[in-house]
Amino acid sequence: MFSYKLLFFLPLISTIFTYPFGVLLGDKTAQYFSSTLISIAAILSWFLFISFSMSPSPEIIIPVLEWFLVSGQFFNWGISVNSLTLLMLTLVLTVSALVHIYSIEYMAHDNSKVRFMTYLSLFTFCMVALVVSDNLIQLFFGWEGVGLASYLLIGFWHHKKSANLAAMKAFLVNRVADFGFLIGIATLYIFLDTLSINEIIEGKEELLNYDINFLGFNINALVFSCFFLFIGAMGKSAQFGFHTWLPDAMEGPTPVSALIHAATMVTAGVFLTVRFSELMVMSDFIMTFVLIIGLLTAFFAASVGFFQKDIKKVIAYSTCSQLGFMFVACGLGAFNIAIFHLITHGYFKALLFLSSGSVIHGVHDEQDMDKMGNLFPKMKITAVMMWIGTLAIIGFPYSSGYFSKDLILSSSFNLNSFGPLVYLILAIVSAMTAFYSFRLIFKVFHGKYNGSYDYEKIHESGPFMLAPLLLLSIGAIFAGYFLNDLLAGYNSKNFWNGMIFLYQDKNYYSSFFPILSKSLVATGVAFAVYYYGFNLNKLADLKKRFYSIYNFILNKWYFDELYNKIFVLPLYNLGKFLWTRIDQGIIDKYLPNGSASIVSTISKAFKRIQTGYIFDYTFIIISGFTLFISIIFYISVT
Amino acid sequence: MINFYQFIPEIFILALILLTLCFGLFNKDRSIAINAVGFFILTLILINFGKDFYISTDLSLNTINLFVLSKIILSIGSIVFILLSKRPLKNENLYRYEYILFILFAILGSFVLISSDNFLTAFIGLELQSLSLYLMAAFNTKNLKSNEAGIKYFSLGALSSGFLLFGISMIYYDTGSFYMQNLNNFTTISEIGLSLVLISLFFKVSAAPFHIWTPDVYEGSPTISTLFFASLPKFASLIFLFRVYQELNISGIQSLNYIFQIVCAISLLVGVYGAITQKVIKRLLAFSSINHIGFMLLGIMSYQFMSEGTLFFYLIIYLITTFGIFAVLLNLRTVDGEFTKISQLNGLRFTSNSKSISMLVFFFSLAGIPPFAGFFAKFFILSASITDGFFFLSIVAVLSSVIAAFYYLTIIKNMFFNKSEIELLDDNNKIGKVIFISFGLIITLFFFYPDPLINLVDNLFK
Repeated sequence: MFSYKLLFFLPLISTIFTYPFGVLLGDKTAQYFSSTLISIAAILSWFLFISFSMSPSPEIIIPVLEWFLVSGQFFNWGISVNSLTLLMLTLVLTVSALVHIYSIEYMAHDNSKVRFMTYLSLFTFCMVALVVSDNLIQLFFGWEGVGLASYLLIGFWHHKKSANLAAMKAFLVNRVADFGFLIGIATLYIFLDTLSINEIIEGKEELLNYDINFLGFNINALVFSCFFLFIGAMGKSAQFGFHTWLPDAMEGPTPVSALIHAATMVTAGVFLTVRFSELMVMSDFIMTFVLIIGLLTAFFAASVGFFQKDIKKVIAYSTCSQLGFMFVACGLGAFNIAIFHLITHGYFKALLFLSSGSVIHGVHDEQDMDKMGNLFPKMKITAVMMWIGTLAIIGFPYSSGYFSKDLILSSSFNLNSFGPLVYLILAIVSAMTAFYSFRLIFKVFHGKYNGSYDYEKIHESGPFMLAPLLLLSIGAIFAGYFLNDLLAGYNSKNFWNGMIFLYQDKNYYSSFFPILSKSLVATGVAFAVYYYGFNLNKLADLKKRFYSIYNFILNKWYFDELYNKIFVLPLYNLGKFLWTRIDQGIIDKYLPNGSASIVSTISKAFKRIQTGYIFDYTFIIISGFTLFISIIFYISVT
Repeated sequence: MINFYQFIPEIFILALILLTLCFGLFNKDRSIAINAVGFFILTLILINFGKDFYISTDLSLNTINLFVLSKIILSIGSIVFILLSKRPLKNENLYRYEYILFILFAILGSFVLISSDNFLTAFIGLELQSLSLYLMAAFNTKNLKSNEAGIKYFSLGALSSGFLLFGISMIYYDTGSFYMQNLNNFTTISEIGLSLVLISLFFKVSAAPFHIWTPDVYEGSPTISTLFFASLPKFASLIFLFRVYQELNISGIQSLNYIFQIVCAISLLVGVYGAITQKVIKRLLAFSSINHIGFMLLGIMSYQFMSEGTLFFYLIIYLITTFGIFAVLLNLRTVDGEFTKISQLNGLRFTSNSKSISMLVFFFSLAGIPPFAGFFAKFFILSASITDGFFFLSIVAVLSSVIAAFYYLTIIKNMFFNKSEIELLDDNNKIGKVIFISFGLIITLFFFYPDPLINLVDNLFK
């Protein structure tokens, strides 16, 4: 029990004490302090996970602290120990620990590295609180807490205007989705009178009995609450429609992108969906909706990833696309596979991000891929790491992506009628992924150097940055192999132990389909090699021929412009109208300024009374006396 | 047969006066020590035996409690004041033993005033108190302003004493008695007489429109005397006003009730409007005290349906805050002498942390900003007055404290964010420092630990 509590409190201790330590003992000490604490937690989480997976037990809930009491209901901090949370904890804490260590070197030249470490630890604490939560209030606390940490870290370089704007955008977009999440929580509370996740899942049948009248439609309470929970998940996981904040979030330092915007926080949406899988599967509408959103996101993000110039944005869109894959798995009912992909993706995507951070560090904060090239001789280890990450993401056989992604593809046959269509789309998206991933490799590491920074000065990163890369590459290669049987194999039922919804029967699966998907992926790679490896001049030709499509994709399907037109501009204009006309023109002019001027006029009059002459003073006293006498006479007469 | 037992506190002070007269000639320092110790003993006596003094009288328990509590507060206040007064007097070359005598006479007058049950004794107490105050105002004889303040205070005070005597004689004419309990059936004559008595009391507590002397006298007098005017005698007069209101059942008399309400409203407004334009800190505090008197009058009026002693609570907090503010002001000096202008407070933070933070606490408390005790004082008064149905006055009170927050916050802003214009000398008065820091702590800690004060006020009114 104590070790579980330790997992909960180590990040909190790090959050609280890192800053004072930094002030008292120096930056370095604080950095080592927080890295050590989180690393201890990470190692501990692995021990706990391994011992748990050896002998899976039913869920245990460890109470930590009483929080508050509202209308007879206690809300507590608790740790729910089960397969899902332990799995998530290993990922969160491992990546977090590695990112902590990585940041020691990456942020070495920054002035506020202690603040950075504090934010990272804060994020880790909130994420742990989210993952281990046994009730929706604590989950919501963690949910908002990671949102806050994400906001703080995106805007970490607050002297940059773009960073501030991106942070604000991330926060606002998430606010919209979080409102949906709150509606979902409130619905569950209204109908089931509890916020404990277990009790909600137990009471799922009861939910079916209620209807909600929403804008004139009668909607089943279950569908309603699941829908809004999923809206929350969409926001956090940057799904189609809410995805706009994720690419902009790349304004933050790269370790942040690796930790928050690739491996952990953005997967919270998937986690939430899986945590409520028992509820989600009860409605076909919800499952179809999840599936469609996932497919749309996967396809859309992959297409936008084609022509991005910023190295981090390419990886960001690929994150978005992979999250789409996870939701497709959810929509297909293969929740265990969604989590499987979440874990493997966490490792290889963190690897990709941290490698790209190493590249950016090496070429002196340059992020434009057009200004890179032929970096392989200069940074061999980073390049190899990037290759490993890329091979994992395209699903190269026996890398970790191979297992999880293929399982998603194959589980599309859970659907009877549209299964092949879903499969086809996913296969095409995989090919697209392969294309832009290899495009990145070739543009950055091979070909010819186009940058303005002195080529000779480009250097490989130091040990603090390379060690996390090496550790992550182990995860990127082997995580799939080792977890495959545990999470998705025949014995997975023992491991999951009823925590999530599992299909009873294994899907049928012919050998034709893997060949189709793999050959499509190979085609994608071949295209990338052809255009970016050897025939760069043909590329311009192609661009010219498909100019409108190219432009459409380059501008991210014009989503930002659309949102600007629909949401931002009208609100902005309304706000401006209210501000200049109503507030300044009417309210300010007459109420505060008007009353202030009245006050000053009156006080000037009072000042005039205070002449300083005794006869004036006497006069005032006598007039007071007269007033009193008049009142007495007036009242006695009437 | 006169029962002398109940006059023991007054006799004690009289003995102190005689002792000071004897000792003061030889040793000024010792007279301060003697009086401080004397008042300490008096406090102990009052706390332990206070109620026994009045047990043989036919006063109600409530009245006895009122007497004892207010006398305890007065004598504790006297200890603080006497200890505080030494250094400022020395600084101004006013360190003479007569000053201590004036304090003693004023306190004696206040004691008599508080527990007098007929108008003639009240008159004697009030006059004893006021005469000492006139002298204290004019104590700095070499300073023109101090003389002016003394003269103004005296001549206007004489006017108000005239009102008081005239009022008393009208009441005597009507009822044939000086005793308050004999005043039951009000005719127009006795109403007028009572209103004249009230005018005089309003004058003493500086309620508008009889506040008119306050700013000039506050400004002209030596600061230490100003502190005295603002605190203890005012407290005593207010207690007597409270008794008059209670025992003569003024809420039952329509006309006097109106008069009270009008005075309350005008005080609230005059206090804030007058304070806004002030440049001199003592004038500002004078107007601010007028505003607070408005609140206290509201407390007096709404007292009768609330037994929690909201008025007393407000008074105690107000006394503590006033002592604290003046302790800070007395600890600050400019090169030219006493500290006068508000602008001289600018940038106080950079010279002294303890003073600026204490001032911040006191002004926040005066402005009624939580979590300082002043917030609760105002809150209790307002909730009592709303319960009693004084809606209009409550609204006026709230609005006035909104305006009041402006000038309090301006001072705080200037202390913390403006550059200082003038070099302030730190008087380094240890006693003053102890007083303002401990009073600041009391005001702050009240929020976290309110029980002692609330219990004190509560128990004494049960």
